[in-house]
Amino acid sequence: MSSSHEPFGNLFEGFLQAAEDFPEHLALVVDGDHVTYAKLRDRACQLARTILKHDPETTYSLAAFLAYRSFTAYGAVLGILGAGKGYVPLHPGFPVERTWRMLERSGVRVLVVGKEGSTVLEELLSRVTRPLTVIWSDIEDVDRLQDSFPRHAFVNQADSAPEGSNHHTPVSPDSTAYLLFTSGSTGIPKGVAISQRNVTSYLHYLRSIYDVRPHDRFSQMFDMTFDLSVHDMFLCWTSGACLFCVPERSMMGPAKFIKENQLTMWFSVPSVVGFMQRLRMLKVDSFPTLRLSLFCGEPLLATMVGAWQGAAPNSLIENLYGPTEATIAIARYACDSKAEANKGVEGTTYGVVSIGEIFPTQSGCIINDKSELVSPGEAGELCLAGSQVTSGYLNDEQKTRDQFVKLPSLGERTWYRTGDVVRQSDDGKIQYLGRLDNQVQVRGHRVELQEVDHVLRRASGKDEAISLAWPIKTQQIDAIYAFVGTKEEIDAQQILDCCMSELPEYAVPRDVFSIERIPVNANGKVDRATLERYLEEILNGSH
Amino acid sequence: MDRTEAVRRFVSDRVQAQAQKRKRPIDRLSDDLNLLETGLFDSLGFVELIVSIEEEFGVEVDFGAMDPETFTTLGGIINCALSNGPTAGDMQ
Repeated sequence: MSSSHEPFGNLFEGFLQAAEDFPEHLALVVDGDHVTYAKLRDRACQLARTILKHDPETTYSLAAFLAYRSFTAYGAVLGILGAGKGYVPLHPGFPVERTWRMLERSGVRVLVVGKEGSTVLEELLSRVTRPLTVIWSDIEDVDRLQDSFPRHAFVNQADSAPEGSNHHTPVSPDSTAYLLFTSGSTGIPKGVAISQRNVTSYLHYLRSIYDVRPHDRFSQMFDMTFDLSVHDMFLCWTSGACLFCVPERSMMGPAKFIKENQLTMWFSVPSVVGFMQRLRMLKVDSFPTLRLSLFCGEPLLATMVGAWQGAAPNSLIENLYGPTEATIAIARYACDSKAEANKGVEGTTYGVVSIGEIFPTQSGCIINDKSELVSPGEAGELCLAGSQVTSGYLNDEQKTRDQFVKLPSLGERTWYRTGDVVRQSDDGKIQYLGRLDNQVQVRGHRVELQEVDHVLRRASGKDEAISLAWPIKTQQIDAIYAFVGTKEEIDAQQILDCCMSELPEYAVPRDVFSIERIPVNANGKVDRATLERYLEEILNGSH
Repeated sequence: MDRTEAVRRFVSDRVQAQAQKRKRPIDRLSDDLNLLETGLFDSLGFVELIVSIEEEFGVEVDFGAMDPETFTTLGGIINCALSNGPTAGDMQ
């Protein structure tokens, strides 16, 4: 490892140190391209200079990119950071409406575009009223775009010369490294700005516990709009190791990808293990090269640990936990597959693996509904504080006040209320029990069911619309289903089409059913238990 | 009906039904139609499709050795079912 350097103070500095130590090492394999550290650095520095030439003002501390699983996307992450700005990842596959809102709320003046973003680019640009600088490298027909959108400026990335490789704008630890959006109950996504201090705290701790080597080969499964991708990129790129971008078509069953590329480091949501199990891809000793496998984003089942350990006999397996607001992950549990198997379902809670302990560099506590600390062994809401925890939501004081609070018994410190219900067992390990509100994790993505309801109501034109997570009473959510309360027939497909245009794919219900009245309980609240029973009858009955 | 034809009809029917459900009518099913990339199936739906084919024809496909590219197309999934099944003649 690059021991001759001071610990890096920001993401780009960490990358530059590795690029200096290992210029000829492969940094990235994407789309058939094999990119060395030197080449990736040149690309990033060129983009950084082009950004600064057109957006020198420090008042705009963020820049966005619209690209997906391409050299352009990775180059944009580094180039924007190299310009001393925080990056805002936009997904070309997300509904334009949603992407537009993110672009508006982030206030960026620069948008880096890859050719995979060009299908939605025109519709997006037509909605943006403030002038943007659109930086491109591989899109076509730029002259026509410039004619169509005279208010925006189109700039070739190669506008700046590639030489002078070590371009680096100094940044303060408090400046934003990246801005992500999480599901919000009002239908408006919440912006979470993570500072350089937040993310370097995470990386320095992880580098102290995992022995990352310059010859390691990292998986890159996570979408860049999901903060677990930051772990992939920067644990790798601060160590001189190589990142292997898993092509979209391999993501469901990446067995061959792992084998062919001899990956040593694996990181994914647990549901990938579920898919691979069902496709019988986890044969004994399939992945002997893996030495560290991490899972995060949704509950990890004990049965998955056993199956994965069989396929990857030389790998440590760890379960990570953390909300976006606390930067990637803040608790970890080292799985012992034999012990998990022996404990069986009884030793775990509903067969779900513990999330272990809060990192020793950070703080956690568990509170009841009166904001008091719970007694040992009692369930309550997990609260977090420390250098990894962000200070609040972007331009949303109300939401910030609701979630970032002082706890009377714990002095002046501000705590982030996660909304996750947990219990700490006698051995100090934390067990995740579920969500306090109606947020669920669908294949690792956080979904606020109220947001889905909101879209459903608009889509159906009916006031009564309720979405449910499926399967019921498990923590491993596969999909969302919906009910609309009406006596009339509904056009399910039209409603779903409308949802598809407003929600990311994982939040779109798999099907919608009509019901004469949505059942309510004595308090007039929606009787979810009865609805869940109906759903069970429909889905299991028709199977 | 020979096995090849039976598999093809079974898979095609499932795909057409899904296309209809998603209101994405397909004029002609071609073998290079990618069932995932076209958005016809999500990953969960695709796994369900594979399980239904395996159950119907009593096959077990070794996906661990395959590129998903080779089995996510209509032609690919049909070939999988054919090349991994019991010997011809077991079918009624």
